[in-house]
Amino acid sequence: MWKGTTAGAAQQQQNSMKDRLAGYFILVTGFSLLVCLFTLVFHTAYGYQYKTAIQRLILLNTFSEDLDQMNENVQFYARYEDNGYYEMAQSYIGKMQEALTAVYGEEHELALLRQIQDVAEITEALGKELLSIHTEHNPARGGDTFQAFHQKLEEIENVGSSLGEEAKILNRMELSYLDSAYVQMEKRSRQFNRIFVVIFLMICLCMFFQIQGFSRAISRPIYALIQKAEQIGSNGLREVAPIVISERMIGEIKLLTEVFNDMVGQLKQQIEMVEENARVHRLLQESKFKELQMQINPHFLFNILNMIADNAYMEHAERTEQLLLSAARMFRFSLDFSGKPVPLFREIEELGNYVFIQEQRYGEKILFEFELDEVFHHVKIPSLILQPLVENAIIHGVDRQKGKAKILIKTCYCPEEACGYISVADNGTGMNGAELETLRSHMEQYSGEEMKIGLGNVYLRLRMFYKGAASLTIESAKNQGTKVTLRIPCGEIGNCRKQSEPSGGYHV
Amino acid sequence: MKRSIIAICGFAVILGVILGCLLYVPAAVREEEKKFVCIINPGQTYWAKVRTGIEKASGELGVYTKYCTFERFRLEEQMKLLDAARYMDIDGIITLGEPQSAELNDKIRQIEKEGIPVVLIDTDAEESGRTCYIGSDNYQAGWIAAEKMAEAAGGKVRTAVFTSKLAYANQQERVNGFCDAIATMEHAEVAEIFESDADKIKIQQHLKELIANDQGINAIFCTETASTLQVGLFFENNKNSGEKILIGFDDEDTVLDFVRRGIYTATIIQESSRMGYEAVRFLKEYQPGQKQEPQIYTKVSCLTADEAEEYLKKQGRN
Repeated sequence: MWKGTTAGAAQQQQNSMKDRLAGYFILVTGFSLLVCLFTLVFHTAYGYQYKTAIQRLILLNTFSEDLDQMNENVQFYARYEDNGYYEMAQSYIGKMQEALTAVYGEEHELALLRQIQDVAEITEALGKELLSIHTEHNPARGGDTFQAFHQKLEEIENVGSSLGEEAKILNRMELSYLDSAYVQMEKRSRQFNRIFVVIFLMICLCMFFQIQGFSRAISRPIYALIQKAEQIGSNGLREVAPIVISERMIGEIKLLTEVFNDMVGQLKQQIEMVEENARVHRLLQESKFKELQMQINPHFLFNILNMIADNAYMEHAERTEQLLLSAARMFRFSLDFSGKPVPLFREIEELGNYVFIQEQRYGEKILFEFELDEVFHHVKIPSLILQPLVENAIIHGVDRQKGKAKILIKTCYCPEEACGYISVADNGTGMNGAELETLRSHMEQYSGEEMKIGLGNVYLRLRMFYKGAASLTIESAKNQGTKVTLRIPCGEIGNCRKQSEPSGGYHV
Repeated sequence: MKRSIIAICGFAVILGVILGCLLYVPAAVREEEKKFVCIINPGQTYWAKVRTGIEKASGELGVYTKYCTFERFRLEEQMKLLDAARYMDIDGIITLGEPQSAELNDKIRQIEKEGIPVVLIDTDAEESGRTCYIGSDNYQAGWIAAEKMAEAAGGKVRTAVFTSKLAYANQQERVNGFCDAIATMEHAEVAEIFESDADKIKIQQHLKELIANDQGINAIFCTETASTLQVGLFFENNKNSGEKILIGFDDEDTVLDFVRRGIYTATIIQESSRMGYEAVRFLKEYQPGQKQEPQIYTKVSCLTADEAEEYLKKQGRN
């Protein structure tokens, strides 16, 4: 399972560490860049404002100089009535107007704007007036009287000097405006700096918490992992619960936790398997030891039985001899094959000895029938697995029954399932449902510690021998009998011959 | 990552707004409005109040009044400023007249001819052909002063009049009003009329002579601020000069202080800020060709020691 969440999956993680780190990097770089950019823009705009203000002052200064020049030229014009001076005066007026237009451009103070407008109006009127004097009143150009000409020019000079005063006022206003604007700019610059300090602190704080959160998101699950690992180290895997995975975990950490959980799960499974195997192994060894212990008695008994049989032969007690020989064969079989696999036909052969002895014992009260499908009889099964079943059938079928007991031993091969079925059925007292349930549960729980239940023993041995592939089923009905069926896997059997006809009664 | 980019964009917007707020300076907008030029005396409480009135009216009526002053009361400078004003696109001029000056009258007539209404304040000059005069009735002011004096003196009055220059129309009118009022009273006479040219030393010297010669003068009327101040100072410093009934002019702080302390019996006060206000309002509402009241008088009153405190409080001065 954990192989599924490998590196490939990690790349697709939405909330991965790589992404987060990239995000932080972009955030920090972006913020720094923005702050730099905005500081730059602010100071550039600042410089621009200052530069414009200085330019305006220079322009106003030029205006004053031009005004002086203009006044001078008007005076000369009045004195010499020379066109050249007039032209000069007009050109200075033109320059003054240009300067005023440039200053007027982007004004921010209404009082200043009005003053500039006033000065501009006077300048413009001056130009017009000068032109009209030149064209209408200049005596040199055939204008009217000399007196009127000079009176007009004197007026122009007067206005020129007033304009000078106005220009001075304008200059003073501009300077005081610049002063206040500078103070304002300084104030705003301080505000700007303060705002940036606050913003910087806020960003630092945010980043601090972000990074704190990020490192916690990494370290916390890792501590949890370490804790789990320590827990496993001290208490073993059994009591370790998997670490809870939340959707908010960082991708890589989430993956790591998942892998850890899977690993613990796998380890748990494997350890359970090893423990199970160890338990089975221990049971096997215990049963082997018991068998070895038990082998001593059969050997002794076997020899004695043979000796008694010889004695019976000499005494012409043939029936006794037969019984003893059968018993001896049984012992021999149990000695030779105890705990070893044995071909099914050998087991059935051996069962014949047991059946013979039982027939001798019960006589007419019992009838054994065999229906055998020998096609799978070469299959090896655990030895002495059928005898306890038949013994049970006799105990529960004959002993508690007045009538004639009938025990049917049947083998059958099912090619579809590749399994052989061996069943032992009696027509004895049988069991009701509850009794059957009790028996089944006893059988399931049987672990070999007590040897009381033959059926349980058989079932355990089957499970161990076939590793769970074989099964044992009990069917029973009260007063109708019991049927125990073993299902044994025997693989594909070549030359499969379905034996539908039973081989009839088998009597030894 | 997406969140980071959104955060940066948000931050950029915030910074932009801050930057805009810090750098934005609204450009001044000059609307089409009536423009008047006001050419008057500088400084002093009286003229400062005229200016306050003009500024108040300009603000309230939405007009622009350019304020020009000359350093001293000099006709030459006034003429120059009037010339400069003529060269601007203006809708009216507020200035003070001078009936004795033919030059100024001619200039005002010329301006009127060019279609610019001229409003005279403080001093009228009817010959100039100005559109309107707004100011105190100076003759009335002199009359009130005489009445107050007679009341304080209990009927018997022998008075001296201190004025700056009788050539100034407003001074002349005040003196005329005063003299005419005295003439109607029994046991009252004007002993002398002294022209000081608003010269401090002249005033002080003349006062010394006056006290030394003792011509039985029991009251003094000053027709303008400078005389009022000097006379007040003289009597403050020379307490043994005998009881005199003093009537001053205008409401300079020091003058009001003299009134409060009883050095002056009373002072004549004009509503100077009203003058400025009315002048601007007149020009704003002026329609060429429409028949106008040629003279608008603002109130003149007499302020005594009892009323001084209240007057100061009302004016917001202390």
